[in-house]
Amino acid sequence: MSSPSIARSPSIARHVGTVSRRGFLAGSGAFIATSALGSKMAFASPETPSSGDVIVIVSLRGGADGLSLVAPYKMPTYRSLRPTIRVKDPSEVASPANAGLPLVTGGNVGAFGLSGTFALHPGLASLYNSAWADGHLAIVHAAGMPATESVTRSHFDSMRNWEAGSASLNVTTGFLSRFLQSVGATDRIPGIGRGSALPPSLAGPVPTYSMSAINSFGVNGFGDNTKASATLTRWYDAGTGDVVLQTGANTMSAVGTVKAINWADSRFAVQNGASYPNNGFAGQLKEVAQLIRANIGLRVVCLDSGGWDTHGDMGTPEDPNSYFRNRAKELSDGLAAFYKDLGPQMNEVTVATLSEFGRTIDENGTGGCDHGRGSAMMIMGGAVRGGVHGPFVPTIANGPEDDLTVLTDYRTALAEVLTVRGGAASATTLFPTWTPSAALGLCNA
Amino acid sequence: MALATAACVPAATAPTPTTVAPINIPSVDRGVTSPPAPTTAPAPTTAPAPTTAAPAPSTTVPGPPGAAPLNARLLVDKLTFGPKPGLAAAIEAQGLWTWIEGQLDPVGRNIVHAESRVAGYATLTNSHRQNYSVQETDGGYDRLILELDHATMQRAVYSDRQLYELMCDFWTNHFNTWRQKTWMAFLKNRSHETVVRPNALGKFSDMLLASAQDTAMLDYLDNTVSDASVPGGVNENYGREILELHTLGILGGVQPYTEADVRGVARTLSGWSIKWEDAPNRYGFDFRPWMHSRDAVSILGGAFTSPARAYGQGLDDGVRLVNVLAHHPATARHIATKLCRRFVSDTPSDALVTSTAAVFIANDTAIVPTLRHIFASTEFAQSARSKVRRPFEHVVATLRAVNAAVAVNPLGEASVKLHQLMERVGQPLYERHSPDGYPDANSFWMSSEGLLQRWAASARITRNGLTDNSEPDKVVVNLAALLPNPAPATVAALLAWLAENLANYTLSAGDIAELCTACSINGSSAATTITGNGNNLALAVGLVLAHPTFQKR
Repeated sequence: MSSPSIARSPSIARHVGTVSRRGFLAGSGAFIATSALGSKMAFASPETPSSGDVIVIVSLRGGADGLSLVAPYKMPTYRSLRPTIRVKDPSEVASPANAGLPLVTGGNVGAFGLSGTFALHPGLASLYNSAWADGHLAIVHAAGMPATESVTRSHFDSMRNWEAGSASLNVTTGFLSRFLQSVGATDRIPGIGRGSALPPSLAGPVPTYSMSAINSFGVNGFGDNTKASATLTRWYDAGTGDVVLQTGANTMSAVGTVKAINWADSRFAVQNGASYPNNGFAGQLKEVAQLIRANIGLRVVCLDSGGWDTHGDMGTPEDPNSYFRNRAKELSDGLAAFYKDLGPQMNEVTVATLSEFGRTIDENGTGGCDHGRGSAMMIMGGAVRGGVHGPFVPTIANGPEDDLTVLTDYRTALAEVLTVRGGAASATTLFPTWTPSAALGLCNA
Repeated sequence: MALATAACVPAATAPTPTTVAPINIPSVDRGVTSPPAPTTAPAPTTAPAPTTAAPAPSTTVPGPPGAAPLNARLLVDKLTFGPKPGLAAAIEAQGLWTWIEGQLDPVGRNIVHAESRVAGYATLTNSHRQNYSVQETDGGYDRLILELDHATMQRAVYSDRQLYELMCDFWTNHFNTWRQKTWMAFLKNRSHETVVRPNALGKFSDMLLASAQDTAMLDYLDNTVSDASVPGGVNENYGREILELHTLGILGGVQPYTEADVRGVARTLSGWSIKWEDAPNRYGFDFRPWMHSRDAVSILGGAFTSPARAYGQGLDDGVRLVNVLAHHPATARHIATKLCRRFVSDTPSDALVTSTAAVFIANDTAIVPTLRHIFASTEFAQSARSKVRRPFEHVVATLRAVNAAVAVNPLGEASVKLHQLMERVGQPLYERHSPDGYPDANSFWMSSEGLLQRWAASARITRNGLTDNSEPDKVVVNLAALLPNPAPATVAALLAWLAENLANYTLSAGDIAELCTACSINGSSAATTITGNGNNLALAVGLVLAHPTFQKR
């Protein structure tokens, strides 16, 4: 019997009865980062010649509470409807580090209409001090699917609609797949979903790929992986329309592309003094930066941030150990490290966060809030114009469903990103049921 | 429908199928053997002809009238976790519908179970209170996780109640809870043993009520903190998901209930919580009247109403509501759709879904006649290889195909490595975070990473590379012992034999030639080219299990 090629697990004695009770689970199946070798070098551009930004979509799964991430913190109704979980004014808390981070004109942030209305959650401090301060973080509040198209508050129906880019069941492909098709990005590896499964937004006629980690992306586990690869390449021949054969054929092609790259090369090291936190989300972003630098035809990446379905026990923003603050901090610290790592390359990268819906305005009796409608989107990039864009209401009101009404169709924001920065000629082919609306001015051409 | 109604009534006088040959699996126990298997007695004139000339036992059960002709290969792929040596032949020998009816027996009489393999897993039989204590001990958290996961693996691989184990997997996903959402992970083990397993081939209405009073579910979906005595304190999370996911469903974008219905269900079920006070049933279900909304409720278009109640009342209203939900026509259609997707295809016909839903309703939500109706359908008979094996199914199918010996120690190397393997292949057991359970759609599971990881999983298992050889509790595969004697003469014949007999499919001459070319082997050379070298044999079997056909069921 040949010896196993996989890393050997510690014996059970070492993961029973030691460290934290979740130690074993945290250690198993954890994201494996490739080692960053070599010294910093001049960066390579994402693609030469560049035909459009790499678009990075971060899905906040569970329905992220936009009124906590980007809080109308001075609004009397916000304060009265959210007695506990609201983001506080600096005058209300002992340490400024635990107060809301006011979104006002200043630094490199140009003038914007809603200046002074909002504060970022204190958990988003790292983004506030980097991308926001640089004028490269835009907010679109009360964004979502307009009620005229769908009012669902089901996670699953809503995510389907968001990822299809339409509530119509006649739209069966993902909006990012249609984007890749529209810009003709079908070569090598145009789209990657980080994880074991392909996100529905990437499903469609253009070959796209799921990839959990760069270094394990290949044919593994056989005694002779070379012979196995050769056989599987012959067996998985495309062209029959069969989903298994097609996926296999595309996979073997992409494996060839990834394996041909020397990932230990210094150009893939973390740059500009960035430091990624040690968690799965940040680890994914670290590899996304490497993939962007690899010139593999990449135009779209999807990754997930989970744990946003906060029906209860959000905790208070001023408590650094509260649940929601930790979620916000993980999101922020990962994105801030990515922003710093890419540095000038952020001029050709645009990141957008999405969530299937926001949450009710009213704080519920269990320290959380329930499924709502409008939420806040964040758009970050070197060509992004910092500020809060789009409309907001002077007073948030607790209507019959306790909702923040959707004021901006999320596709209006995405349409601008995908055309102005992504290079798509027309947004209506990407979003067939979207009612076109004037661009919000999120980004420079 | 009439036939299925009749068929669900056990014929007490049906003869015991004494001629059924036990399937030869080592180290497993027998199920209850005293009562005869309930068999059906429809008109014999409509029985389908046997699909082979294998000697049919005199007790062979005919299929339901009008049942479409089936074959053993299809049954192995569809109604089990995958082939194992000799299974298809054993099904042929029994008679196809004899075997199906045996699989449909809710308590698995006359079938080899795997329960003795998990008999020492105390957390499966402990009370919640005892499992809380386990969780508080050093290593107890891992023990809870690993015992449930490894029991699931052992049962799926070794129990001959294969359809029952498939249905446990189905209902586990239907009533999904994520055990690590809160600190109360210990609730999951007892939950699985008392909600899913006793009801997997029982009545849906019973299982729904068990689930609605399952503290793992109530904790996971926040009902334990739903408190009507606090302004805004009624939490709607469970009320929404019991409607959307467990019962009425949203099919084709149509939501057959309103937001007011969600709130009405949440109010009716408020106070359904956890026994927190110390008692033998601590952490079990408790109705907390001070948290219960006593307001009048009228929802679902008047299908459920209850008047304003006095303090302390209201538990019966919730039980009545659950029963209304279980028997709702939209629920029947939702469950029928999911069952047809599981066993037939991602796109079952409207006619099959409609007739299946009618059987479900006509049988008071009994699961067995509903399944029997699907298995007798023409669409089922024609659904060969219509579904991509989910990663769990692929791993179990691999272990079964190569007759792997998986050590039973839940804290041992085999258990830990299989737990980690399930994470790598993208379907960690009982770790789906969202309440919808793992998806049952080919498109979800077919991705580059998914394929690479499932190929690697079966390759590692096949070459004894999953577990560390220095550890006592391994996954052991003895490929040489699986070969026929005498072995096929040539490499090409051997490869064909491996696919046919281990993996339940026919490997074409063209695919054999391609493997030989890629691996620099002469297909017409002696089979010992492969059988004489452990590495060559492992590569050949690993590839047979990585073939496109084996990825489907």
